[in-house]
Amino acid sequence: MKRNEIEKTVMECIQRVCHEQSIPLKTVEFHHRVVEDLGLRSLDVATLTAFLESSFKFDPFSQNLASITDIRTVKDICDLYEKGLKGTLKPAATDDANDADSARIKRKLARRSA
Amino acid sequence: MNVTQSKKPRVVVVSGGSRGLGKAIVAELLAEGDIVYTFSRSQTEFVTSLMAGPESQRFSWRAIDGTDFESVEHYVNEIFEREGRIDALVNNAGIAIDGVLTLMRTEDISSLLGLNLEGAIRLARSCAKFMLQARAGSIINISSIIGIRGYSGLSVYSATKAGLDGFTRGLARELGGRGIRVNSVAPGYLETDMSEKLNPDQRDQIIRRTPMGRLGKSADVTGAIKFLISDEARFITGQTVVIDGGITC
Repeated sequence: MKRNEIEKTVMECIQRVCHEQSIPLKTVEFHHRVVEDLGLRSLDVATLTAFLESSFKFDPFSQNLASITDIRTVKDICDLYEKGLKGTLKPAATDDANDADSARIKRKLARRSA
Repeated sequence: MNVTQSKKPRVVVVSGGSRGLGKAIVAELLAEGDIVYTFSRSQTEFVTSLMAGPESQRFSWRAIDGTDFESVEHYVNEIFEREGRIDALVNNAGIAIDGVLTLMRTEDISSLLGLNLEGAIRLARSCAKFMLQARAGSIINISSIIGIRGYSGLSVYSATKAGLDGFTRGLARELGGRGIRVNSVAPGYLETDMSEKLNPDQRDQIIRRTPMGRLGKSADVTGAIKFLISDEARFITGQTVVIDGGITC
């Protein structure tokens, strides 16, 4: 699938979610932030990714190829699906994040018991 | 749109629908006119007869182990591709392995958690993606009174069912705003394949402690499931409906 087709699908899915949730929407730009600028809440983002999965027949999140925190802007979404459809996405680096989290929790517990 | 306002037959996914309670659920939903998709590890006579009978147009079965999460997800995607919607899910597949915790095999603990809890959660996730798009749906998790009351020798099974009830409440809050309802049904001891393991003394003891004076039947439970899927239950979500003849009251 070409980049412009991916962008068109992403825009249509965003517009559909906004329409269904009665989110006022003027124009969608690639630099728009999904939450801050477009006003989508977490469940709206979940609905958007469900529409995108149905359109692209590909879910990068359940396959652990991306984390929802990787997406901030409309461009990020287009980039993610473009890479995913090309097969160039690498598994999300969750282990580092988990290690960092557990280290933080351990430090906190150590401070409490001190 | 809600689950029953559509004049089309509902598309319902039932996990573990080849025997026991799952078999009764499948039969009841088919009798209601629903299109039923189910999967289980092995094919039973019940499944074979449905596939060869008049209901074969509205019934589909696939040999999938509920802990083969990838295959389950593919099956759900296939159902959506074919039907264009998933109206309801009955998360029924489960196993019961008893044993004193310290003597239980690690493998058995993993199997219980894998099928009863993770399997149910992952199947709900697969179906919820399509329900979110339709802004409608009903998910029923088959829990157990064992998850509500403690029973010696069933601590891990109990943990999976209590976990399922917690999952029901959390998911109900998460999806309620999108018209998707999530409820649990918690049967007591039923006259199914799983209760055949009880010895006569255990059986008598359960009957003595049950105000209604008998073990439950699958039909006692399927009525509640039909109701919870239906539009009659349109304002009921996040609940655990206990069907046990009063043993936990």
